[in-house]
Amino acid sequence: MFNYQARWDRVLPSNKLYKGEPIEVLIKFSYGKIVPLAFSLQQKRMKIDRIYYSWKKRQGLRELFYFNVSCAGEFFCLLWDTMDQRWYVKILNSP
Amino acid sequence: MSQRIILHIDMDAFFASIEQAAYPFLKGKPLIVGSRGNKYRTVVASCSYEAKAYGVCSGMPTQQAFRLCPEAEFVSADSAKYLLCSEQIFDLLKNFSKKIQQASIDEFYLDVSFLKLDEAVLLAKQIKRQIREKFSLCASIGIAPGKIFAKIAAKLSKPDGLLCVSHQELEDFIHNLPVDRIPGIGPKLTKRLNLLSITTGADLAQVGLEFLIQHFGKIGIWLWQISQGIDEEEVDYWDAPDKPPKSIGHSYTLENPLRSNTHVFQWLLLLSEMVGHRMRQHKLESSTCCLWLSNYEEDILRQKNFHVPTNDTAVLYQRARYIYQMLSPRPLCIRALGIVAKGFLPETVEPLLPVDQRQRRLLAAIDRVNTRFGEWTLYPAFLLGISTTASGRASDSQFFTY
Repeated sequence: MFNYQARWDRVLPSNKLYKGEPIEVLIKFSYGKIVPLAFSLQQKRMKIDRIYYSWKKRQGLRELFYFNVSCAGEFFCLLWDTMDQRWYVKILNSP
Repeated sequence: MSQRIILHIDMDAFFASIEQAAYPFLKGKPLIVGSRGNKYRTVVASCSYEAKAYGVCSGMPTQQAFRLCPEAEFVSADSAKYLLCSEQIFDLLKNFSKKIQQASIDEFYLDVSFLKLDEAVLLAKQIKRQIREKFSLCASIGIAPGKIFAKIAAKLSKPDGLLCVSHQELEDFIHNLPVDRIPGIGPKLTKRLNLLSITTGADLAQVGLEFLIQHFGKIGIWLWQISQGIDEEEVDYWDAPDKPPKSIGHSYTLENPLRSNTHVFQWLLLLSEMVGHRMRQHKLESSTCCLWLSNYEEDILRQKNFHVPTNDTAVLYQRARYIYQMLSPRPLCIRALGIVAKGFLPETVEPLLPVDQRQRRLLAAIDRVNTRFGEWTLYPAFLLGISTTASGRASDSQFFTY
C-alpha cells in the first residue's frame, strides 16, 4: 500500500518557509469550504476572478491553506496560516 | 484462469498536470517537474506531454532534459499538492468498489469483479469523466483479469486512454507483449532474457517453466505465471487495516556532491532520524541497516545485520556510519545517499537499563514536540547548517547529542 509518509521532498531543518506579505482578505465560508473573494495589496482592492487551485500543507498541528488565484490578469498565491490566523500573498510571476 | 475484472487507473503526467492546473500560465508549455529545487542538479519527477514530445521522460537527469528541450519551464515538486489530490481521487474511487488499492501516488487498482465486462468499461469511462471534471486531470485506465495485466493495459493506452483486455483476449495480449513492457522486468532482466532469445510473452510461454526456473530461479516461476496469464494477487479492501511495512527508507539526491566525511555524516544522521521517527510511529525496531550511496559512476549498496533491534536515531546513525566507514574503497564524492531499515520486530515493551529507559523517554518527548509543531522543530545540533548543497558550515564533532 502506498504510504503518504514516505515523502521525498521533506523539509530540511535549514529551510525556512517564506509565507509572503501579510494582507487583508475578504472570504466566504461556503458549505465547509473557504473561498477567498478579494484582498488588499498596496492599498488596492483586488477582486479575485478565479481560484485555479487550492491545497493544504500540514506542519505539526499548523495547517497552511494555499489558493492560487487570478485578479485582473495577474496571478497570486494566497496563504492562510491556521497557527497565526493570518493571510499572506505572493505574486506569481513564475512558480 | 481467473474471471476477475481489475481496473488499473493511472494518472497521466500527474505532477505536471497538477502544476499546470495550479499555474495556468504553464498550460500548453513543455514543463519539467524536478524532484528538487535546483533546476540543473536534479532528476525529472514528471513532465508534461509537451515536454515528452521532445524526448524528456521521468527519471532523466534535468541537465539532459534541458539539452533536449531548452525552452522547457521548470517547477520543483511540491508533494503536498499531489498528495492531497491523490487522497481526493482515492476518496472518489471509494464510491465505485469496496476493493481499492493505492499502488502509488498516481496509481490505483479497483476490483469490479461484481460487474460484467461491458459494465466495467462504462464504469471506467465514468471514472475518467469524473476525474477530468473534478480535478482537470487525465487518467488512463486498463481493464484486465489480473492486476499486472490491467497495469500493462493502462500503460499501453496512455495518454488519456482506455484499454480493455477480456479473459478471451488475454492469451494473445500476453503473447504479443515485448518482455520489457512487463512491470518488474527491468533493463538487466530484459537483457538476460534477450540473450536467451526471449523477447515477447509468446517466447516466455514457449520455453516453459523448467527452463525459466533453471535460468532465473524464483523469478522464473513468476515469469512463467505471467506468460500463462496467471495473476492471483488480490486487491485489498480500502478499509482493511494497514499492513505493517516490510522496510522503511529515505534517500536524497543532492544538488552538489558530498566530498567531506563530516557532510556525509550529517546526511546519515538526517536520514537516520527520518527512518527512526517512522519506525517509532509504527512501534517497530529493526536489526538490519542498509546503506545506499551513489556517485556519478555506480550505485553502492551495503547491508548489515546487527544483534540488537533498534529504532533509536543515534543507534541507527552509528550503524549507517559504521557501514560507511567499512566501505573499501570509499567513494570520493557522493551524489545521492539513502538508509533503509529492514528485518522488523515489534518494539520491546520496556528497556531493562535505566539509561535506555531515559533515552526512550527522550525520543518519545522529541517525537511529540515534532508532531505538534512540525518536523525538525527539535533536531540534533550536528545537523545545523546542513543543506542540499552541503555548503553550510558543519561542526566537526564526531558524536552528537540532542
